[in-house]
Amino acid sequence: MSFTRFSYWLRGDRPELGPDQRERLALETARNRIFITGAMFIIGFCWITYGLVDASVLRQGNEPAVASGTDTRELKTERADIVDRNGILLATDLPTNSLYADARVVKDPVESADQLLTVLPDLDRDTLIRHLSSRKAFVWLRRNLTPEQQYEVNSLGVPGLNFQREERRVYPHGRLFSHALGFTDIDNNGIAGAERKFDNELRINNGPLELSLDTRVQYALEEEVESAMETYSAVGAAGLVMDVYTGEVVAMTSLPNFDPHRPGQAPADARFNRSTLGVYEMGSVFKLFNTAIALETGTATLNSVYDATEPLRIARFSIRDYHAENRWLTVPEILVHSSNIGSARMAMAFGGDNQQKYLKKLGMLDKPQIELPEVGGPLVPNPWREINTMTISFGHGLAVTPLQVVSGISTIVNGGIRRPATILKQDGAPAGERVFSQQTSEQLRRLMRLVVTEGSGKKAEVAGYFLGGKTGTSEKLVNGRYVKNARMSTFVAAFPMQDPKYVVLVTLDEPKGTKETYGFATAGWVSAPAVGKVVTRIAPLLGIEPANAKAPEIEQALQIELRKGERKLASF
Amino acid sequence: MTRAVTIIGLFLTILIGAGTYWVSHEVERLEKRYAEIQSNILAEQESIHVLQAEWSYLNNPERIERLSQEYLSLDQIKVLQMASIDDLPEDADLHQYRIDKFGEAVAFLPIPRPRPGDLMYDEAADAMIIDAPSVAAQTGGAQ
Repeated sequence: MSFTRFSYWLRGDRPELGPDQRERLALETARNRIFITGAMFIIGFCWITYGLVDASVLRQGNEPAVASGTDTRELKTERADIVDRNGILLATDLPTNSLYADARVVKDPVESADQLLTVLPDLDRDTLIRHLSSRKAFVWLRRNLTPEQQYEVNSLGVPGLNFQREERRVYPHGRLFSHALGFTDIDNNGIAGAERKFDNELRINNGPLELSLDTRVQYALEEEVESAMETYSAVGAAGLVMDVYTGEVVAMTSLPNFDPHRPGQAPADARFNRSTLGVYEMGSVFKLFNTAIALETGTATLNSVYDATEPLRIARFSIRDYHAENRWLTVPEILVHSSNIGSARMAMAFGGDNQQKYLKKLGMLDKPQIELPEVGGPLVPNPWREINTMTISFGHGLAVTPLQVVSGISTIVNGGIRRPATILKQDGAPAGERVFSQQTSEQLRRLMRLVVTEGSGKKAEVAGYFLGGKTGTSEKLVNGRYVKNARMSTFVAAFPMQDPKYVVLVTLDEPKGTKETYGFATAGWVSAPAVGKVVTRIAPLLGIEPANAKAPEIEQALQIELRKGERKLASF
Repeated sequence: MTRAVTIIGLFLTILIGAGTYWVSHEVERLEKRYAEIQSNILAEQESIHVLQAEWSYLNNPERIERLSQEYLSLDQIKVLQMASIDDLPEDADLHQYRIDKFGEAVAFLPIPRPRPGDLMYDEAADAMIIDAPSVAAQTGGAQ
């Protein structure tokens, strides 16, 4: 019953009414229903239209003005670039194509090999045939083809030969940075130098690696060191330029060098980094450290005198002077005449413990800290006897790397603060550790200047830049014995001495005298002029203004008394 | 009325349908173009990268030096060729003449700036006067 009523209600029919009324009612219901349905459709359409307009015409508040694709791909090389301090590219990855074979597809290995040899004649025929008949899906035939080679191989049309896109490490400056940058193997793994030290960082590739090296300075240094090495027929040479306030290595060279694209073809000697891995007795250069320790500990003043009248005999050794003065010498005179006897006496005054303490602080007794894997530890005497104290005072019996010497001299001239050496570009001076007082540093600056104006470093003088330095010539140790005519000639200098900014070191390995040097191969004759030439070239590049020698502030900064009473202007 | 509504409805349906189709087609076309531009950008980036390497190679100081020797008449800068702004006389234009040691007016000539390591102005000036006792002669003279 109720179902029948429900069905009537559903149709909007009312059976109790008359036929006319029922008909009118039915029409009305139908119209209402159509109206409601239509209204719903209109609402729906309006909604969709609004959505459409909103999505395509109206601007949402958070919508960017320019559309940005989420899938924007940046060119990412396998390894990051390495750039110098001015952003010049030193190492980068370039795309190349390598040739491989799918040996399963190769039809006639012998014929294919012969065809391939017409294009790549330096491949080995037997190996090639063996590879092509190996039935392997992947065999390398030749890595890193040139575009022409690739084109020629491709036009041979040999089935089974394919190309694999690869990246190859390229050093646009070739040999110039070979020791600092190092090199990579064929699979782009860093295996020497900065490439190895920063292998992980370079792989992650968060922008280029900025080194502290400066291409222009590096070239000037390398060229001058190379020309000195050729002139004096040296077997090797090393050169370093360091910023004394930040410890940044601005240039570093070791000769002979090698082509980083073909490191395997270079002899082991060329791959040996003489500036950081080679340890050498530095000779008289150590007298600067010795004097600094004496002045710092207060066992000597600039006016102290030491007996250098005759060779110093101890046990079975005898310490003598190369340029013997045979008289009592003041501290400045000991440096100017490079007196071994005087230095040894100075060292005896402050003793072996103080010597070890300060040399340790200067970093001479530990492996130098620098971001390179090729780092040589010093050869330290053990036990440290009295005789060692005496010989180390003039640089014999303790072998260190040239890098340590440059770091040590930076510490002396920059006001006495030691900062770790680095090849990474620094943002200001890093925290350092005080080794010498400001006063000692100032006195040493004057003494170093005096060596160039009065002493063995005269040939390094460059008008206007006020070099100060020290020569050091030592006989080379070969199998534990000194060889008389095989020397290491080192000159280390800082400039400008009234306010030192940079330290330059040049070491020549086994230089031979020439006619121009009257047969001498000591540091004052062979290394000092090279340092002078380097400074002439790099000072303008590094923004150092030449100054007038008579300027009162320079006179004041550099004046020193050679002997009490004998006033001497070191600035002349 | 119904007819008008029907026509309008039909018209709107066609319009919206066509519009939607056009928008979707346009999006597809732009996406294709976008992908194409993306790959072109990547190719450009790669050639920029190669060119950067070449630029660095061409900027090799050794090559620059060789080229400069070949094409330029320039040489290594000498210490004497550098001067700072402080070395310039401040009021050079004001001086038409100056009073010399003997109280006579002589034409003003700017004194050349000293070479590094040279004698100072007044010493050099003294050395020029023959009668006066020469400081320079006593100390060894100019270079």
